[in-house]
Amino acid sequence: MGVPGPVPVARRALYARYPFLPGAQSALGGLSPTSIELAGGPVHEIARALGRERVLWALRPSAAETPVQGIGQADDGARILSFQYAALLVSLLPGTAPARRWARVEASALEATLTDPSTSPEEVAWLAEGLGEEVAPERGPRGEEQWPMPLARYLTWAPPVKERAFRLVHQPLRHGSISLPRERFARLLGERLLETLEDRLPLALEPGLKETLLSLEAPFLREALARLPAREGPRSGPVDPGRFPPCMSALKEGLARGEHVGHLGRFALASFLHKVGMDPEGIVDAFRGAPDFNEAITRYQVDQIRRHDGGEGYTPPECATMITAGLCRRERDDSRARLCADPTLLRHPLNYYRRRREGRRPSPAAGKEAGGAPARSAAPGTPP
Amino acid sequence: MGKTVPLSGASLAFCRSAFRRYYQERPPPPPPDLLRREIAFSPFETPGMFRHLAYAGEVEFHRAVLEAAPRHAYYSTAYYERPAHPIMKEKGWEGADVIFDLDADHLRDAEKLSYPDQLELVKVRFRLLLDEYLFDDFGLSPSDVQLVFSGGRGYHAHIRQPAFRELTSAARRELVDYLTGEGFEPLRDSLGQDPGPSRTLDGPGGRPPASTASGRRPRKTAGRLSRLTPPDFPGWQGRFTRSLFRLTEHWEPMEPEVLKAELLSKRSPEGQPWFTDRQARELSQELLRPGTLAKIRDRLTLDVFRQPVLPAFLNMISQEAALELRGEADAPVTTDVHRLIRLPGSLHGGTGFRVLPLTRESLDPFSPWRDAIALPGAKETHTVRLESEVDYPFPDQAVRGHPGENLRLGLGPALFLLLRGEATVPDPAG
Repeated sequence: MGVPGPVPVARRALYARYPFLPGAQSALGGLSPTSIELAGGPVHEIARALGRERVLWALRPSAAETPVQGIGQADDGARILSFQYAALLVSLLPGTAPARRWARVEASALEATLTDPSTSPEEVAWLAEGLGEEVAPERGPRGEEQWPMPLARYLTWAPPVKERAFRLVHQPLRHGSISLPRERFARLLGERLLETLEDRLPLALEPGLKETLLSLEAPFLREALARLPAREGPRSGPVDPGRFPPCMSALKEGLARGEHVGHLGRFALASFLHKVGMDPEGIVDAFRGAPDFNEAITRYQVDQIRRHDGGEGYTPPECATMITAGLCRRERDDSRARLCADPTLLRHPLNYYRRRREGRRPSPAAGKEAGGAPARSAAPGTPP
Repeated sequence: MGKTVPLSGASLAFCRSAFRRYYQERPPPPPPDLLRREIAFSPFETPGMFRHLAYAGEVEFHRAVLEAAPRHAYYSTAYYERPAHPIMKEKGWEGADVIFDLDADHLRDAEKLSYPDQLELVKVRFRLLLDEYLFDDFGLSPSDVQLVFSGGRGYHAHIRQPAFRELTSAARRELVDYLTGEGFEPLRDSLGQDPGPSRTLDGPGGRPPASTASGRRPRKTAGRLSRLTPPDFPGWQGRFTRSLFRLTEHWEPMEPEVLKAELLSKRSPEGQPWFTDRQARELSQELLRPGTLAKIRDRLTLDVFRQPVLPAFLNMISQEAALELRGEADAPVTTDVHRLIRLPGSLHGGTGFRVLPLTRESLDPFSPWRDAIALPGAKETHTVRLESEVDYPFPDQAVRGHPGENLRLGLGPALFLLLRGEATVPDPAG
């Protein structure tokens, strides 16, 4: 399909709803300011105020998944510029976490707009084209709106979405095409925006602009920094190897016995140990038994894993990856593996640790006689 | 297979010279997009591999193949900006073909089969991969997919469609999971039942909740099962119903004892039986109660059992339609975006068979024993001494015998036995 049908609202108003699109600047006509003008020009104060609001809203302690209040009242030009200004502002903040958080909120807002019944299919198609997917809605067998996507495109867009409903095995795939309901298509477009923003941010600010912004936006920066959420995660309390999932125990024990463990196994163990709160010394120690142990290299690699993403560290592979790589040990006759047997509960080795840490017992479904859980591994007749 | 001996001495010299002759007479075409591919050769003389080779054109490539006359030849499924760079990260990855590798080594129960039977079994699976998955569901056309006999015990499908090239490893894993049905839960996805706490709902006809013949409370899957998805529905939902229909038709004429035995023979992907003896007995009786199988098909329902349907029964049905790929063995070939794969047109150094490009049409009648011989035109024969018991169906002559026996064989069969270590070239001095 070429250009989607006539756009239902005026072009600039449309870009005000989707200010991240490449054409948004040009929709301002001759009014498009440079970044320096935007940062200092008196006429842009409304855009700047809205831009601050966009960022602060995203940095609220509770996850903000709704768009900024009151932004609908501003004029279209200010709304477009406020987005650009917000991108400048998050680029001033330390690390990548604030930018990612902001991008996530903008993506959620996009998803909400697209699923709103008042948003026409033509508008969704127009937006999708702006994000790189030319698509025309179709009618399903019961007259429902459907968005066909070619398989390769779906596989480019969907894997970052971790929900079960987006897995390929659950899609109505035929002849290389998947028909999605509007909600799922909107979710993918939101993810697309998220990825685009994450690629683009933080912006590399030229020194002059950066200094100007730092001095003009000092109050904003103080407030934004105060709102940055404290680091959270499973890192609290002592590390308890008794609660490791069987896969991680096996890797750790294998290394201790001097067995060869492949790259993915090493990565999985190191990132897992980091995420459960082990200090770098402890992680390096776990590798000392490896037949090719080299302290300097191990230290460097552990460091890389820990420092990834501004100190968040890499996340260990999920269960599916561990299974594919042959590292999963749930089939082993091990009472601890019971918790793994229910795939609806556990998809990630870290969840196992968290669950055990919370002192929860394995779920009744998973702990019952084999056959109680709809897991493929739960073959009746298998000794528990 | 009995005893094997490593390739050395006169046997090694024989194989090496045969390979050299093959590469002179039938130089393999360079892989598509040669300039962006890494090439790798394993020589006869030493273990290991010469990697990070790259060639600027067909002439140079052919010269290199001739000079190396390698025991194994590979090329990268990936496209690189700098394919010769020795550091992977510096090669400049620009995408990779999507490869599916089916190998008899990784099929359950294959170890019990003879080598010829393994090849037949893997061909059946390969056809399933092509016809049901790659062509039907993935919508690929035969021209998008290069089919290759691996020269060993399997087949490769190379997907070179540009849209697939840049798929990440995670995206390729989605494809693998789709083929194996990993994550598809029939109870939830096809029968609309929430796997959470079981609900007690009426059956479609206002039937009270199922109770078991033995009077025990139903466990496992109490609650109403939705109608099955129609068999022509796209994706796994339709596939599940089609698989169920195929099985019901297959079971219909059976005696309960026969069906029971068949149910007991079914194995989960982990190699465990799906059913206990008692479950198989009860299930076969339920299924063969008059009208039951027809009702399943006509009314698209599994609400036909007196007992709650066993999850294992549902999982078995979906597994029957899935492609068997052993996670640890075949999946990495698809998900690894830096993989080397055998060069079509080269010789497999473990069998002497050609790594032979096929079409969907030529796949059906293909027999490696006849069609993948290195130099079928070579008329001379060679004497080899058997080191183990052999029996292979080469069409022109029976290749059969006991250890210590001498056989006079054509080049193809001789190479095959020597490379597999099942025969040696007798030392002229001894």
